[in-house]
Formats: sequence, C-alpha cells, structure tokens
Amino acid sequence: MYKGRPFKFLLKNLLIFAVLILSGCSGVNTNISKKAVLIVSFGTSFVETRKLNIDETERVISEAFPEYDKFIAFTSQIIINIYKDRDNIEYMNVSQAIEEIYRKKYGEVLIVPTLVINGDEYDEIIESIEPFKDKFSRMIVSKPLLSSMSDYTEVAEALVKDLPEIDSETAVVYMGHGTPHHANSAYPAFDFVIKHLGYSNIYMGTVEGFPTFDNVVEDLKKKNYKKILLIPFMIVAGDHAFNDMAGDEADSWKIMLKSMGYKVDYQLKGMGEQPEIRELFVKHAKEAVRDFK
Amino acid sequence: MLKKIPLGILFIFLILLLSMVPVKVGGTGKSGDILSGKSFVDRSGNLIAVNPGFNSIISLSAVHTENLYFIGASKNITGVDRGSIFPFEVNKKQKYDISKPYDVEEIIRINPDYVLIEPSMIPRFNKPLSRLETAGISVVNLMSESLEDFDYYIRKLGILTSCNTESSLSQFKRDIGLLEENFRKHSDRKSVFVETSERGYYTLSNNSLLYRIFTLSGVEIINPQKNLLQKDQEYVKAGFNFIKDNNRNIDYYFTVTGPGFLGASRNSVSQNSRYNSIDAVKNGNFMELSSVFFNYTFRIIDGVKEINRAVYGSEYSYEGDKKLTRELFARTVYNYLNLETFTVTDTGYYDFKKYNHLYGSFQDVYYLDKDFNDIETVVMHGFLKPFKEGETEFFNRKSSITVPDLEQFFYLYKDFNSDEILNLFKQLNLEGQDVFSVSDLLKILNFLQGESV
Repeated sequence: MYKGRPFKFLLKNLLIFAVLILSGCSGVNTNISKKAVLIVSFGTSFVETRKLNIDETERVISEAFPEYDKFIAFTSQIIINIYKDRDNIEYMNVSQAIEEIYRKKYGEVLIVPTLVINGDEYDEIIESIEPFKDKFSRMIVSKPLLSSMSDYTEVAEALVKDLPEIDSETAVVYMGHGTPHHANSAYPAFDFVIKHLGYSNIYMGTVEGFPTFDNVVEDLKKKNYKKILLIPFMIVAGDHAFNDMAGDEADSWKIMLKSMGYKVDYQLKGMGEQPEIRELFVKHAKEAVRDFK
Repeated sequence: MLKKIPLGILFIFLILLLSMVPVKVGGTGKSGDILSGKSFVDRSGNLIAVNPGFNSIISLSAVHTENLYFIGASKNITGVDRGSIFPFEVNKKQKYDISKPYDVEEIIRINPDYVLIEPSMIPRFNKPLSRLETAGISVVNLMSESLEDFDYYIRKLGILTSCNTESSLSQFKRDIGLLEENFRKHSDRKSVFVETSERGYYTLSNNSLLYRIFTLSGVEIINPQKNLLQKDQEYVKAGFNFIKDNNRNIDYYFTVTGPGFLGASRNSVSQNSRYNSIDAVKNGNFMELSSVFFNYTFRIIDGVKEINRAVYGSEYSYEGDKKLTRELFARTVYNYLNLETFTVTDTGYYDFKKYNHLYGSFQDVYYLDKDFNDIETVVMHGFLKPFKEGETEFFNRKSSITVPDLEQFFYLYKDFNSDEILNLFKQLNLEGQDVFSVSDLLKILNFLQGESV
C-alpha cells in the first residue's frame, strides 16, 4: 500500500494525526452497536449519471445494512471540488469521512468501495483509512467487483443477461478503463472467463491498459462481424464512455470501428445501473462482515 | 586646445545618450523595452542583449513554441516543454519537464543560449529556474500583455532568433482588420455568455484577451463587470442566477475548455439539468470552445472566426462547378455543416498510437495553410480517410473525390448503408457518376438537411 512512499503517506495523514492528538481523541471507539457503512466511489461530475449509478448503488447497499448509518465519499478530489464550487454540494473524501465516523464514536465501520478492480483507487482508500485501523473496534473493508474467481463469472453472467438480442454477425465490445497498476490483469482475465463461458463474440478492451483497442480489432478481424455493440465496462458511464467510446471524433472507438466498415451501436450505461452488479457489492460487503476476525 | 576638451567630452556624452534612446517600433508604446534591434528588456526587467548569429533556444511555454514555429524559427528550437504539442512537428523535439531535477540538469548539460519562459511559471518553478540561472543559462521571461502588445512580444522573439517577423505581423494585422470590418456589418448583433469555469460560473471580464477576441468576432458580451473585485481581473464570477436572470438576452452560450479553463464540457452540460433553464443551450445555440485559440498566438484569428461562424453561420463562398477534389470537399463540408474546429489540448495525445489519423501529421497539409483546420476537422470526424505509406500520412489535396469517399462520408455522417446511398444518388440524378463537382456535393448536403435540391 505504501509502496515505498512513506513520506507522502506521512504528509497526507499528518493532519489526521494532528487532529487525533490535539483533540485528545486517541482512544478506541468501543461501542460496536453503533455502526457506520462508508460507501466509496470514484465519483462523477455528470449529475444524471451519478444519480443512476452511484446514488442508486449507495441506496441498495445502505438498505442491505439497515443497522448501519450511511456515509458516502468520493476518491476523486477534483470531482469533490467541482460539486463544491459548481453546485455548493459538499462531498467528503475518504480521509474526511473516516475521521467524521471516528469523531461520532462509531465502534464499527464497514467500508464498501464501489470499484471494478483492486487498483490504484483501492490502494488509496486503504492508505487513507490506515491511520484509523486501531481506532475502531471493528474496521471492515469490502472488496471491489472483480476480486475472487467467482466474481468474474457472476459479473459476466450479469452483463450478458442485460444484453439485447445478439446475432452471429454482431460482436459486443466492452470498454474498460485500464491501468498501469498490476490489477489491470483483471481485464484480460475477464476476457478469458467470458470466452470460456461460451460467449465467443464478447470482447474486452481498455482505454489505458491491456487489452488495447488494437488487440480488440485484431480479434474482431478474425471473424466476419458486421456489427459492433460498444458498452462501457465501468461503474459509471462518464467522460470515457461519452468521449473515448462514443464520441464523434476520429479517435473514439465508435468512429474508428465505423471507419473500418462496421455498423456500430453503443450503450451509454454504467454497470452501476444493473441490479446484479449492485447486489454483488452487497454480497462482498456481507462476506467481509461475516469473515471479519 | 584646453577649451576643446570639455566640448569634446560633451559631444561624446551626447552621442552616448542618443544611442540609448529606444527605437520606436510601434505597438503599445512599450517600445521602450526594445532598446535596439539586438536587445530588449524582458518581463522580469532583465536586459537581454542578444548574441549575434544563431541562438539555440529551449522553450518552456507552449505559447512561445507555437509562435517560434509561426515566425519561422523552428530551427532555433533544441527542446520544448511537455505542454508544447503544436504544431505536429514539435513532437520530434526533445521534451523537458523542469519539475524533474534530471531534466533541469540535462538542460544545463545541453547549455542552450536561451531558455524561454512566461511570467506565470515563476512562482511555481522558482527553484529550477534559479538553478538554470546559477548554471549560467540565460532565462528569458516573455509574454504579451495585451492584443496591442502582441506585435511587440513577437518582435522580441524575432530578435532572439534573428527572424524577420514583419511579414507575419503585417499579415496578422491585415487579417484582424478584415475580420473586424467584416463582422462589424452584422446589424443584428447577437449577445453571448461565455462560461470560463463551471465552478462558480465564472465568465470573462472586459480586461481579458478573451473579451477582445469575442468583441472582434462581432458579438456583444453579457457579463457582470460590476462584480470585479480587482480592476485588472481577467475573469469575474457570474453565478448561475446571473445567467438565469439574463437568459432572455443570451443568444448563444459558450464554454471554454482546455488548459487554464474549466468551462463545462458539452457532455457535462447535457448531464446537468440546470442548463435546461437556459434557452440558448436548450435550443442548441451552444458551443464548447477550445482554449488553444485564446492564447497570444497567431491562432487568435482562428478563434475569432470560430466564434463568428458559430453565432452567424459560415460566410464561405462555395466554389460552384469546380471539380470536387479532396481539399474542396473538406472546405465545403467543414463550412456547410459548420463543424466545430478540431484541436488537441491533451499533452499526452501523441504518446499513444492513433488508428485513423494523427492530428497535424499530413505531409502535404501544413499548419500554416489556410484550410488546415478544414481538412483536419473533416478527417478527424472520419469523413475522409488519410492515405498512408507506412507511418507517413498524406491527404492528397488535388485527388478527386470518389464514390467510395462519398460512401464513407454518408456512412459516418448519416449511418447510410450502400442501398440507401444508391437510392440517394438515383434521386439526385447522380447515379453512375464517378466524377463530382462541388455543386453535386452541395445538392447532396442540401437534400440531407431537408432543403430543396
């Protein structure tokens, strides 16, 4: 988690340490009947998309844990700042949220990251809550969407269930974000799993990782597809979906595929809109509580 | 003899005094900062006495880089900052990031004659810039302070590089003059609101370059100038209530995005129901403008044209019965469809392979060409394919537009399949043709827009 960045870690958490020391709040919160669920998303400044994906996922998770008080946080400080400056809406980052939960004397905190992979954002969440790991009687952290082997199958089945009728001349291409982080391996792993489940006309590509758009095109050309359906493989269909996937300019996946002669359709719908995906986050959270020692 | 000595000294003194009188070069009256054809005072107040002969320059400002190319001084550039991505050719230059100590040391090792910066860099990069100066590198701080000051700033670049800037500046002034005259004729002047940041809904103040560019394009600006906290502020907070209160007066709504600007993107606007209360946005009178047009570069002209075209429509004269070549196709489609000019602001754009076309990379379309924007925009929409020989791209300006080219265009523009295209050609009596004229294209475009043939 620290990855050789102890100075950055210390600096980042210095304020929190200072608050803890100065306020005299250095004790452990022991009241485990007072529970908080902290739902963490990357965030999006696209209001309608946020409502459909993030707000709804938060509602479902919160309702699954009625004995927990709901807290929410975004990991993207840029998005937090946009809401504050543009709409006068205050969102907390993870450090602020966990500090507030601690100050309010919750004895148990369940942190639910609504992320796809165990990548940079997940590492940053862990880093942010680290100073508080001994401040709660129970601090439980749930896992992102693609964490265990069964997750891949469950996500694949959920996504396939949501697809329209696909004929043999149509390929479905999911566009994930991708990352230089080693957790990028989740994307080619997903491609492997979905093919082995028998969905040979479903492909995975990423904007900033592997498989690349070129990898996808190479695979598409091996078969005689006439039509491509593009779908974002992201919790929220935000900027990447609107621009990189479905934009009207030459380097969008839509235009590049159309230029190759394919008929291209697309969905601007995040995975967070799907009930099965939301339920998987709930499942992970429940497992985390069950397995907590 | 003795009497002649004081006279002689006086005479010499007068000659010295006269030689220090600044050469008037026109502009703002800041000609005093240019002391001679070989020296000037930079924005830090340093006297820059330029070495005779060839001077190597590392430019740490994308604005300076672009201007150096425009005045023909690209040969002087031995390195640039990572933000310098235009024109395309600059991507072959070595790039430096002075926030990284090893890049600073590398610049010291290269030992250029000058390192060019702009005033905004000083607070952020004080330490590395001091390191360069301590190492004996001449750091020159330049930037235009106003549109009137622009020729003066360009002349300083010319002095540094021994490039004659007079023809570029004369052309720039002529172009500005022509646009101003042309746009003055709009009797029904439209009013616009310009969102420069969606955080707090900031807009431009009367002091800004952006304001000058907008007024040159023949529009009236709606802004709460009285909200200025400081006299020389460039941007002023409007707040969404101001926009709503002036809703009926706003004919066109612009946002500015890109480096230095935080206007809402088109997608962000579509996602924010607040904007539904702005009639101009609701009616489609909305444009997202790229900030590349609003720096002190020669592309200010493109910015003025872009704004005017958006608000009043294109005034391009279509070239009637001329044979439809690829370049005429690009100009016609760009103007007829009033396409938003494509630009690149992402500094990482050239780090990744592009499948269709790499912006600005055509060997036969030069960034100084008058139709550079037309061609690049049409190709970047996928409406025309580039020709490739290995990694090299060509546009082939004079080649005729073919039936496959038109099929590509109709497919990308309207999702027409081959049968629909064939029907279209039949309806317009173009079936069987393999050579087309501009009029044929206009006939097709009129038909697609629902106008009479």
